[in-house]
Amino acid sequence: MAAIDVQTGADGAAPVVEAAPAARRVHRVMAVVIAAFLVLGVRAVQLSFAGAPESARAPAPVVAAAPLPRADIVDRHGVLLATTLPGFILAAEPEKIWDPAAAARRLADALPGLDAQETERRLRSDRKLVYLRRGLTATQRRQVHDLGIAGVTFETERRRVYPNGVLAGHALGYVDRDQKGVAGLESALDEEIRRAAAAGRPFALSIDVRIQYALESELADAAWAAKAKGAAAVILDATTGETLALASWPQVDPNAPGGGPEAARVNRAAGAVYEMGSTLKPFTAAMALEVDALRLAEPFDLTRAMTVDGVTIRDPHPFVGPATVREAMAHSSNVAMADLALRVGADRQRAYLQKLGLFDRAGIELAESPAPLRPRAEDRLTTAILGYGHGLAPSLVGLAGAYTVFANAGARTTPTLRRHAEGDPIRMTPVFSSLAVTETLQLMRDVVVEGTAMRADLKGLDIAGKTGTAEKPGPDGKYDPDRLFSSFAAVFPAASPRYVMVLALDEPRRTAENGYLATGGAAAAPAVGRTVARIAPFLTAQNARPAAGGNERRDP
Amino acid sequence: MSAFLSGLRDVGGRWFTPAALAIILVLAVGVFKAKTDAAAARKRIADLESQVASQREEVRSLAAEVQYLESPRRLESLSRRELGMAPATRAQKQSLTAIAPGRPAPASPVHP
Repeated sequence: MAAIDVQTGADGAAPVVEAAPAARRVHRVMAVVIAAFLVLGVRAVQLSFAGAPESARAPAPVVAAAPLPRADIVDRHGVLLATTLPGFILAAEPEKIWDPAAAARRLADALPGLDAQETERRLRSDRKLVYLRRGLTATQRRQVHDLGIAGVTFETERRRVYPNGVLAGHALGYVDRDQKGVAGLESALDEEIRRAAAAGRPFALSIDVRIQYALESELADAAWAAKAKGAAAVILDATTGETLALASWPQVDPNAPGGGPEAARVNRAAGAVYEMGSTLKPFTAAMALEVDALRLAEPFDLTRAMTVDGVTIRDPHPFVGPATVREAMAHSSNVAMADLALRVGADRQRAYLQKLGLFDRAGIELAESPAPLRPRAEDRLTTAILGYGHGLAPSLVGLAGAYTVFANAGARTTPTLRRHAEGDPIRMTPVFSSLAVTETLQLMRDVVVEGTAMRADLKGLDIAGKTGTAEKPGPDGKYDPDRLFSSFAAVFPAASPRYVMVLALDEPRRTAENGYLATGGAAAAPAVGRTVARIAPFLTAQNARPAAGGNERRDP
Repeated sequence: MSAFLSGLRDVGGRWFTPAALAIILVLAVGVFKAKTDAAAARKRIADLESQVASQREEVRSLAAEVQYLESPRRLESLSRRELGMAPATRAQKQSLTAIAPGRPAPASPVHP
């Protein structure tokens, strides 16, 4: 009211109220309001025709960047072995499905393997929601979505994918639907793989995909050629204990572990134990050399059998004429090794076997790794037969771990599937002196040059090793000469070993490919030779060797 | 002094109210715009984060697909079928002395 202009008349008459200023103000306010509405109108027209600016558009539904439950698993060079991808669960609301039979038929056509009858039965269910299939890929989801079937929905989930299929399937293992490891490394290192995922880094293995593939390929060829029931092999870098390859045949596909035969799920390299037979003989020789119970030039009479506690020990093919331990090893004499074992004695023999890790689980990070079967008795007969590898059943990985003594100047490393990083400590267990190991390596080289493993000999790369042909117990519990476990354990290069390889065939048959012999030398050794020749180019960059141990002899 | 205050009141009385209203209006519009921009920025960030997550998933899927395509088994199969290539056999390997007879043999076996 203060703004109203009041003027008094010249004759003192009643004041005249002038309304003009008030009207101007009203007009101004109206102008402002109209201008505001005009601005809003122009903006509305602009939004209608040009659309909202990008920043004002409704955002796409935010997919919560949930942390991955499991880290990727990669090989020693970063090659992807296992990863976690989004997956989809195909579900349906039965009450919204108009024609269950047609819907089931169309879904089955789009998704091979989906049972149309079972799907139709579920679509006729009274439940509000039914699940039809898990683990759909994004492509499959799109295919089903494009069918345009009302009532079909999708739920998201995570799924573990192994892009190399069966490659390293036994080492990797697999997970269940809830992403929990149930076999292999996925199970044994479940927590570590989850921690790696939380840290946003992959979990690196010691395995080399190239070596793994070469090994699996040669192992499968050897198993098929010998019509074997099963086969297994392992390759270690003895200086660190790293497992470069671990294979078991038949193979298992971790993407569908239930899809193959039950036998394929058995990890014969690390998850089973076998009586290895003569592949343990180099240890007996090394023990005898270590305790000064053997001289390399010492003559042996291998023409006759040997009797221990009333039991006769004989060689399948007695050596004719005088022989040294070189011939005894090259031709795998049981008599000579039983003799050496008795010279070493039960106590020292068991102490050495304990240090070699042959009385314990292999130590590799696989939950299915079993404890070896070992003799409890310590009588002379048990000691004698242990000398040539009978009565003790370690896993292949356990035997490979024991063979690392021949590459580390007498010290043993524990097999591992973790990649060794520069500066990581290497746990070594001293077992033999380097002198005893060097002399034993000469015997093992003779096995390849002129003994039972000649078929493993290579040009340009010397291999040293020992064959093994063990009879398996038959249904009556007695050793069956027709059921063999044939193996070859090798170290290379022979002059300065760094790598250990053990390969075995379970119940090989006598075929034309192995010259109608199913022994370790005929069936397993050639496969080792082929594998080493194939992988040698991949090992050229790995020449570094740790410091060798001392020459002093060690008592067990 | 009183004249000065009186003068200020006269001037203020005329301009203070419109000026204050104008300032309030400007501030109100400013606050509204700031809030609108902040909301838009939040939506934009969420959108980008969603895109990043989606792209990461896609990268993971593509990496898995690449590894499947480059898996040794598949490459060997393709090499055999399309190129007629196979792993070298022992018969195909020769020692240095066999290739170059004049050169002395290495003192020790070749380290792999």
